[in-house]
Amino acid sequence: MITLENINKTFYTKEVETRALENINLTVEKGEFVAIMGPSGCGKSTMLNIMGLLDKPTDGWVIIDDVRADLLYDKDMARIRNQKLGFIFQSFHLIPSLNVLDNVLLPMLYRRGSSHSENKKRALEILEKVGLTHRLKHFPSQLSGGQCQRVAIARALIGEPKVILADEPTGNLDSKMGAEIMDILIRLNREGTTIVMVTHDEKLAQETGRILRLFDGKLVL
Amino acid sequence: MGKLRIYFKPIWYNIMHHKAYAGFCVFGTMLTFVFITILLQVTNVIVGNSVTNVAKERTVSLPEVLRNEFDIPVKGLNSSDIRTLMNNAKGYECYTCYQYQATSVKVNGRNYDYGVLFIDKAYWDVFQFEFIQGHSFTDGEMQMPCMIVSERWAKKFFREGKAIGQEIQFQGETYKITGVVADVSFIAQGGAISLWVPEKFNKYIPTGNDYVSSYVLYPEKMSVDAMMKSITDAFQLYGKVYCNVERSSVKAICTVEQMMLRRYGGDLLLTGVGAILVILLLIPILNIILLSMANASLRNSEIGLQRALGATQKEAFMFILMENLLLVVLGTLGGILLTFPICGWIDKWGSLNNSVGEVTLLPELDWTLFFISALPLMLLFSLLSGGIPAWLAIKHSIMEMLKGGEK
Ligand SMILES: Nc1ncnc2c1ncn2[C@@H]1O[C@H](COP(=O)(O)OP(=O)(O)OP(=O)(O)O)[C@@H](O)[C@H]1O
Ligand SMILES: [Mg+2]
Repeated sequence: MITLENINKTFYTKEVETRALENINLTVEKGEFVAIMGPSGCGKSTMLNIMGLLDKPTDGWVIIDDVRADLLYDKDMARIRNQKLGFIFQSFHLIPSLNVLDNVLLPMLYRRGSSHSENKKRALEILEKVGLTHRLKHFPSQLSGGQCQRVAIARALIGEPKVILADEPTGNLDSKMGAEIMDILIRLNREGTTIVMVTHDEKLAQETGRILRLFDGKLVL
Repeated sequence: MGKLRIYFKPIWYNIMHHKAYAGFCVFGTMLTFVFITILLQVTNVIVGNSVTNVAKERTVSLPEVLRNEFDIPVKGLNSSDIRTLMNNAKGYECYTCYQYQATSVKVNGRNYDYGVLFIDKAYWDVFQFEFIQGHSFTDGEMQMPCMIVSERWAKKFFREGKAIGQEIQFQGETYKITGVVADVSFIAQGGAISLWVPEKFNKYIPTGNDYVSSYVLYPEKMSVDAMMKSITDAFQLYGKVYCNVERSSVKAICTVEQMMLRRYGGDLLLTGVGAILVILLLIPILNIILLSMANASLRNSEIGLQRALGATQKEAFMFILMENLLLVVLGTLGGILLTFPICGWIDKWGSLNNSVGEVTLLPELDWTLFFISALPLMLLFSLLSGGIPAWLAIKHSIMEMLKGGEK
C-alpha cells in the first residue's frame, strides 16, 4: 500500500541543520493498523507527513499503490491526497467559517465531477457513523474537542480513502474522548481502511496491529 | 451552488476577520483608481480624439501676429487679413477666425464676469461640438444678436431645458440663446468657453484690437507635411506681398495635435503619465503585499489544509488570489463612483479661480477607454498585489503551510 524507501529528511534553517529522519525503510500493507510511537521530536510527524505527500523527503522516495510519488506532477499528487489518503490532525484543522456539514464536504470541492447532492448524502451517512447527526449546523467553535475530532474523521472519510493518516488524533482529548475516537478508528480498520496513527499513548497503541518505534529519526525494531 | 458556497465562505470569513486589511485593500485600490481614471481620461483629452478635438491632427492653428524671421512682430492679423491669406492656400476644407473678449454679462438681472467668443459661421464646422438643444448659427442668425451657450452655463442660470429663447445682455446688446452645446473638458479646444456670439457684434472691447485666432481644417487623407506646406506657403506669400516681410516666422504654425502636445509637454507628458501610473500602482501594491503577508497565518493554514485535502498548487494560488481580486474589484468600483464627486470638486475649485466660463475637467467618462485601460490595470494590480503573496505562500510545503496557522 505505502512503502518508504531509504527516506532521509533534513531540515535546513539559517545555521542549524536538523536530521529528522535517517534511512527509513518501511512498508504498510493494505488493511493494517499501524501505530507510530516515540519520544517528542523523534520525527513521527515528519514521517507521517512524508507518507501523506505533505512534505518531500531529502532523499529516498514514497511508493503509493506501486507508484513512485516523487515522479508525479503536483496535479497527480493532489489527486492521490484527495482520493487515496485521509488526514486527521492533532489540532483538528477545521475551517472556522464552515459548519460541520460543510467542513465534511470540503474535500469533495477538489473532486471533479462529483455531485453536491450525492456528496451531501454521503456526508450525512458518515456523520451518523461518528455520531454527529444532531450537530450539522454547528460551527467548530461551538463544538467540544472530541466532537471536532469526529468532524475531522468524517472529513477524512468522505472521499472513501484507502489509507487514513492520523497524527496524534487523541492528543488534544481527555482519555474518555480519546477512547471514543479510538473505537471509531478500530471500527474503520475492521471495515478495511488502512490506518497509520502517531500516538503517545501506549494503551491505545496496544490496540493496533503493529507498533513502530522511532528514536532520533531512526526506526528501532 | 453548494460547492461555490463552500468555496467562497472561507474567503468572505477571512475578509471579515481582517477588516483593517480588507478596508485598506479596498480603500487603497479605490484611491489608486480614482487617480488613474482621472489621469488617463485627462491624458485622453489631450492626446486622444475626444469631442471638439476629433480632427486635431488635421486642424492647423495660425498665429495672431505675423512675425519676421527674427521673431519681431510685424502685423496683427484680423479676419480680413486671414481671408486674403487663405485665398492663396490650397486644399483645405474650411477655416474659422474668432476673437475672445472678457466682459460682464447680465443674466436674470445680475452681472457676471465671463469670456465671450466672437465667431464666424465656420467655427462649428472646425470644432465639432455636440448640440444638445437648438443648432449652430444659420446665415440669418449670424446677422442677429444670437448666442450659443454651454450645457453647464445653461444649467447654472436656467431650469433644465429652458435656456433656449432666454435673453442675455452685454455691451449694450441683448442676445437671445439659440443653442446649447454639450460640455467638453476645459483642456479641449473651446472647452474653457461658455458663450459664443456672431462676430458681427464684436466691439473689440476691452482688447482694442481686432486680431483673431484662426484654425484651418484640412481633408482627412491629406498628410501633415502637405497641410503644412499649403499653409506656410500661403503665410509666407502673404507676408511678402502685404507686409514687405521677406521671410515670415512660421514657428507658431502647427496642428492642434502638436499644439496640445507642446502645451502639455509632448513626449514628456506620456513619459510622465507612465511614471505616475507606475508609482500610483506600485505603492499600494507593495503595501497590500506586505499587509497580506502579515495577515497570512490563518489563511495559510487553511490553504495548507485544502492542499492536504486535494487542492492543487494552482487551485491554492487561485484561492488566495480570489480574496484579493474581490477586494480589488470592490475598490475599483468604489474608485469609479468616487471619480464623479472628485471631478465635481475639482470643477468647483477650478471655477472659483476662473471667470472665463463654467468649466469642467471631465464632462463624462470615456467608457471604452476605461475598459481598455483601467480594467486591465486593475487585473494587473490584483495579479501583483494578490499573486505575489499567493505565489510566496504556495511555495512552502503543505506541512509548513498547515503550521502557519497553528496558535
Ligand atoms: N519545519 C521545520 N524546520 C526545522 N526543523 C523541524 C521542522 N519540523 C520539524 N523539525 C525538527 O525535526 C524533528 C522532528 O520533528 P517532528 O515534528 O517530526 O517530531 P515529533 O516526533 O512529531 O514530535 P512530537 O511528538 O512533539 O510531535 C524535531 O527535532 C524538530 O525540531
Ligand atoms: Mg508530532
